[in-house]
Amino acid sequence: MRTRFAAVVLGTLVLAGCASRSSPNSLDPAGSQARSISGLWWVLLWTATGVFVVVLTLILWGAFGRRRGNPGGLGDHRFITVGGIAVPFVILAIVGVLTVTVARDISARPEDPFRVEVIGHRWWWEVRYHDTGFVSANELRVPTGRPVSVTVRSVDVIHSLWIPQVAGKLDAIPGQPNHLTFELDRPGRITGLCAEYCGIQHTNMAIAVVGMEPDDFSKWMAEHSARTSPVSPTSAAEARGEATFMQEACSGCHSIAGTMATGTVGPALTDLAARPLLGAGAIPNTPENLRRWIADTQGVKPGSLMPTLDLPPDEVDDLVAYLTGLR
Amino acid sequence: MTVHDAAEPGFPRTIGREIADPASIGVLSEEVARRGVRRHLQEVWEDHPGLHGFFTTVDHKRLGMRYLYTAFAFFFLAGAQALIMRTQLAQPDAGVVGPQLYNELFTMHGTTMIFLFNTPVLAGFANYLLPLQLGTRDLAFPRLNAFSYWVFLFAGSLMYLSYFAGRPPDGGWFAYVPLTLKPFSPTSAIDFWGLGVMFVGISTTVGAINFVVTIFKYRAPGMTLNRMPLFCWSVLTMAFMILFSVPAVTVASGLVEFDRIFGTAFFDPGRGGSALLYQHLFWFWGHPEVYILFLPAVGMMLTTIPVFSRQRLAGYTFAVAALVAIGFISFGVWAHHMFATGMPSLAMGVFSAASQVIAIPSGVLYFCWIATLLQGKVRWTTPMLFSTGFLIIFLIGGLTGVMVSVMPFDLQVTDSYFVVAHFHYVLNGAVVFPIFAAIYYWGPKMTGRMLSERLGRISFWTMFVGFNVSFFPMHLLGLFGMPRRVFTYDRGWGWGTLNLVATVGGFVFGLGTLLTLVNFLWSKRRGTTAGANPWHADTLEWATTSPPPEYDFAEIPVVAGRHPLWEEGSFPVAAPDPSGAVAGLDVAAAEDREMPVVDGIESLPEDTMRIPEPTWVPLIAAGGLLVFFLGMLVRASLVGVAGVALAAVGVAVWTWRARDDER
Repeated sequence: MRTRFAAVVLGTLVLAGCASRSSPNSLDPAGSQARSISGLWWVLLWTATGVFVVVLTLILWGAFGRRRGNPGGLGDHRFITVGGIAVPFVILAIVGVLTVTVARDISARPEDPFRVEVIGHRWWWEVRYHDTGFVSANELRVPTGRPVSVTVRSVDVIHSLWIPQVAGKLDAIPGQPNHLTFELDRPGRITGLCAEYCGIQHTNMAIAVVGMEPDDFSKWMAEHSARTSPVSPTSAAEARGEATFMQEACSGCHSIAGTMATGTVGPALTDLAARPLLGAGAIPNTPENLRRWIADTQGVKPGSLMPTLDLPPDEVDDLVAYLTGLR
Repeated sequence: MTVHDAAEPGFPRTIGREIADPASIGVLSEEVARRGVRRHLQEVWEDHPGLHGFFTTVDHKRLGMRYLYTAFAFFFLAGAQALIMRTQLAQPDAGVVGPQLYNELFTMHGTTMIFLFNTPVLAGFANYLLPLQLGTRDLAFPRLNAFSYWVFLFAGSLMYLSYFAGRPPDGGWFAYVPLTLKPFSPTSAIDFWGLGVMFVGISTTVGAINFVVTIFKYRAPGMTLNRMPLFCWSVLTMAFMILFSVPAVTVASGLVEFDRIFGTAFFDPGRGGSALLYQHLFWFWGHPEVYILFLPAVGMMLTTIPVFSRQRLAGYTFAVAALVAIGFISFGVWAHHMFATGMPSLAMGVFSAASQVIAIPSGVLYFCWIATLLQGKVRWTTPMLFSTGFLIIFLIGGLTGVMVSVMPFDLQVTDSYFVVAHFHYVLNGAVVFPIFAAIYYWGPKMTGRMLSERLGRISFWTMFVGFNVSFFPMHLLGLFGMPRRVFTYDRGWGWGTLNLVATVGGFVFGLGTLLTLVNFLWSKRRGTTAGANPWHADTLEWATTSPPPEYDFAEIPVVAGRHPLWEEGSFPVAAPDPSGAVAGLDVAAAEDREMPVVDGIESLPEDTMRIPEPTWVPLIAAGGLLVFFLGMLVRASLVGVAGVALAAVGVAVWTWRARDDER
């Protein structure tokens, strides 16, 4: 039995090491908060393993050993008091101190953080950059090495923002803004998810978190905050697509900075083509998938609040041409 | 033997006869039989024949069995739902079920397991066993007991009616608002859940009242609280917890229905309501509920482990104190389900600490078991295998429980598969394994026939291996970022292998449970005869025949210690008291359908109660409530009023008849 357990523990370690790199693995931290918590996890795991081995040994010894008159030579009551009260008390006291230490660590409010707002919708995330007023969706870009303070809100039901590699969860609750602090310490893209069941498409509610070197980030932010005039179409198809977008239902729900499209019901599309995924993680963002998405939204993400629009195929092509130019 | 208490003032002076074979007190001794009362007793106690008897019985054993059968029907139903979900999750991007169906499946799986299996199956065992373990003839309120069963059956049927009329609930088993309010869940699906939860809460509550009163007032003479079997202690704690916590869930689901039906705004933040208020109300019941399910299972383990170690339990008082302590502390931990809601850190610290403290009474229980095992010599029967399985599984579930009570760590794993793994270790492993131990242990008492040991062992190992293969990998999935309640996942995230393993384990576990079902059904007819006390156990249910007669005990046993059947010498039963001061104990009382009432603490007889005749009124009252809830479901107030009126008529007839039942 103990061999089996040792195998299980070893298996844990091996699997923790080789879970796919792109997975939102809380044991592969990319920020100080997640690092504190994963450190805590390893302490908890080894403590629990120690307790498990000792107690299991006692159980098996009792079950298979010969009859003994007096447990541990202490008598029932002392044996139970020591094993069941005193020892657990000491272990819990240590765990308690650890809890408080790490809790204080992760709830510290840094000075001068980068501020951003993430708002849960059914079933996508709105991202608002306060400093510049730029609005995006399902992708959160942050400078690395600087604390980020996220105001988490919801406009409908309760969601929960979970970016396992940088921090624990924080619920997005209607009527109650919450504040999540984290720091991303390496550039690159990691995955965030919705962790509170929020309806039919709870599963497809991912948010990409992109860490950028501070200089790159400033450049990107400046580029996007300056975008007050529309991106000029570079082809006839794009121009027709833009016209379709503005005339059809699209612009009633979606916004594109610098255009007449100012809808707030659906995700902002200003930088749609720069995002890796469509439908908050439902499918990869390729031109073919974008066509599928527009032509058959309900087939790709059943229950999504975006209706299938029944546009003629050539109009869909134009829309795809237009939208793939939005970066 | 010495009966110490017999000398105490107020105790029946006449202990009467002492019987060499305890098993013979369930049936009439030959002497009584010669007097020709056997036939009479049967006439007095027998239910009506056929369907008439089926609908009118108030016998705790018949109702207890019915609870068990009904609850197990729901168990296999919810198990099938789980396996459909596991099939969908076996590989990434699978298309076995779509998101809507998947959401309905996990909602109904959780709701069914908590409300329609775990709670009532333990009520079923308590129903069957309490009067037998306490040494009396029925529960305190037999008609209320029948009412409680019918309400449970109707409430469960109401929830499952959603599959045939309308749509099944899809708001998750804890139905968080505002998702479950009208704007986001416009169909009647959530109403089936909300009304069903309120409805089944009535069953649970009246059942708990029945258990509390039975335990305090209907114990055998001499069975002081300090001598009461530990299963009874666990049921007593559970019952008090139900009484204090179930109102909270009734209010929570009731206010959801108020918001949905009458347009109130308790939980609508847009109109001044609070979404978090619901979570506080729900978990104020929801966390004690975990222990409501768990404590009777612990009570079963405190029963079986000593019996199969051939050793009295070490630290009886410690175990009782641990049960009661868990009951109290469990009311101070509910907000640990809400660490991610952005509560102030001081509040989180308090709830985090309180949750960790539960580890201490759990530790006490473990060392009671270990001390017992160390001093005993184990008999490896099937119930003991399941009990040992429980010790190992609950050890893991308890340790991950301490982990999730550590607030910062919980922020990572809450609402992830780590928590799914944790609560299946405690609610499936640490409750279902004891329940299966109980089937093998008490099944022979209920059916009169032993279950097959051979098939039992195969079933245990299949379940034990399947369980761990299924649920252990889920810890890792949670740490690797898999949230609960997702119907599929990205191929690139590396969760496929572990999910496949979990699915295979799930099917193996399911197969193991089916083996026990087959075993039970086969043994019920073909098993070897059990006899009164096949396990050489110590408590009073083994002092009567298997299955027990309708009146449980022809003569009420007298208790002089914690282990009446392990005491040396012959077994005492109470005899008639010529002075008439102490009635209800002897065969004459059984002939009058009477049982003794004792004072709450010392268990001295002080009065008698007449057990009511079979009657239709509990069914009518429960049916009235069903009509009421159906009326609310379709928003037909007149139907609702008619239902209340029918229930009121039922209760009126019930109380009217109660006067006839008095002597």
